Amino acid sequence: MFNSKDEEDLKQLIENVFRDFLNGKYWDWKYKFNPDFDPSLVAIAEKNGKIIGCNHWLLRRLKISALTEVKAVLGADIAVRPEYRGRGIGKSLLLFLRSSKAIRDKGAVLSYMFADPNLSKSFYGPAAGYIPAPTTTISYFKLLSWSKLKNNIKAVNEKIKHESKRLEKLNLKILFQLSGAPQLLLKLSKKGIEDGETDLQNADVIVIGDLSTLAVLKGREGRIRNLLKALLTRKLKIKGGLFSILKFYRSFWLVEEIFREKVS
Amino acid sequence: MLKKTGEFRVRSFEDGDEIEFLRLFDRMYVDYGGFTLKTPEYWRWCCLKRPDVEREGLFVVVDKKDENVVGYAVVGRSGNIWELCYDLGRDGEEIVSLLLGKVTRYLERVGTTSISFNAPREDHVMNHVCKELGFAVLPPRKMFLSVLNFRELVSLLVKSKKEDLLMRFDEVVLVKLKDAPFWVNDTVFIQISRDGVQVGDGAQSPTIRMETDVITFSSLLFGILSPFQSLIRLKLRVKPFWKTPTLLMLISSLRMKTTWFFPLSDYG
Repeated sequence: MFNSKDEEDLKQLIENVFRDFLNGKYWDWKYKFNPDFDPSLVAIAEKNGKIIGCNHWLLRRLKISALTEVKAVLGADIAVRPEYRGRGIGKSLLLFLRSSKAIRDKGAVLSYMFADPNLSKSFYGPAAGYIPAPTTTISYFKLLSWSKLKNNIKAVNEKIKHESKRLEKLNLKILFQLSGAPQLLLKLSKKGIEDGETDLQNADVIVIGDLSTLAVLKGREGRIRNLLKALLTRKLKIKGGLFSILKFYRSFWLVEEIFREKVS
Repeated sequence: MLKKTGEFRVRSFEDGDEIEFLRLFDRMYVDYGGFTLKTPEYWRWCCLKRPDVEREGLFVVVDKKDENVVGYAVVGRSGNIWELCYDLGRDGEEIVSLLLGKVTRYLERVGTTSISFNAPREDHVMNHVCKELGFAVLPPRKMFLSVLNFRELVSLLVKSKKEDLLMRFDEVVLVKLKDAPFWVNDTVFIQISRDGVQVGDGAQSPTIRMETDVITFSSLLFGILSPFQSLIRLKLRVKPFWKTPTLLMLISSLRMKTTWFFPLSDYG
């Protein structure tokens, strides 16, 4: 169980595992200053006095139907040091809190959390019987600028500068018209990649879709299948002459590289 | 096209506005599963003191005539709109478009590259405004649920549907969870008779025995899986078998029909 002397080590662990956290400020806000924070709902895994994993739960009152409210715990941050992963520590931390006296004493009926669906299928479901909530929530998203992508372009240009042979025959202008994002024109040539003015007249290929189709360009497994699926379901459209589309297909690895890193 | 009546104006946050925010939030989301009743203290922690939120990131829409608060948005430098609410009795489209306009300008000024927020799928006002303003719809992070105390959960559901159950059933049902871990009660008795409804760990001989697993029973209670589907998939065993229709009806009556919604501020 959590002890106030664990605070600094815990913050460090969380920051190392979740890179987006705001340098300790986030942990302080989320737990230390949280009016509902209860130290008995933090489980810690130690080895030789060193913290190697943690799990935080927060107590809430949650409506489950028009007339019914229950005590529930929000499974917040669960983290295990990378070198100790795959040894069942995460599962033990999860089960430790679920079976703890603290949870029983607080009368919690439900546990809920927000997580990556894949992780839930492989980890939370089998480990602790989590099921997806019948949610009606959707997320609205708008990209205001491609400035992060410009950094990606710089990095990719650096990476491919010695691949001039592969780039030699590339001379293609691709215009991206994705809903929820400003237009983007990518110029591929033997010099590398440039982002340019979004002039429709200049584009050889136009990619039309929405931001959710970006996943297709992120080089995940089965990308060709995903690309075909997106084209067949008309989530993604590619316009241009046959020759240009073939060129686009040949240069797809480059587009993939650019979109692999975060763009927002 | 988004219409403009000019009835409203946007102002910055003033201490004490949170009481009106909570009123708007409660009215808008109280019927959804996952709704958390917030106190002003909790709201101040959850929104105002959030590390990425500055006071300039709080926008309040008021009626020009009486200065009543009719909408608000809390946005962080991360680009997340943690909460966005409007008065359901007013022109939501104008309120939401005013708020999103202000939020966009604020985020562009501070150099944030994206905006995101959650809304219920059936909120046509948000849907229409977001479409007009060029937002894309993306799948949100998934919410997952797990039952810690089946007996208590079933007891709450039975109590909330007591009248209906008393009219339709006269049974003692034993639910046996075959894979229940040691901290979860593996049996739940539901007794419905003229004397009333009762849920416990033991009772007189059951008239119906149901055997299932933790995930199936959870899915049935939360309305994710229909009783009939679970029977077809052999996830449910009923003894005696001729009581199957009665049991399916009983589970149908018990299951929650709530849809769940969570704003970004509920992530923690």
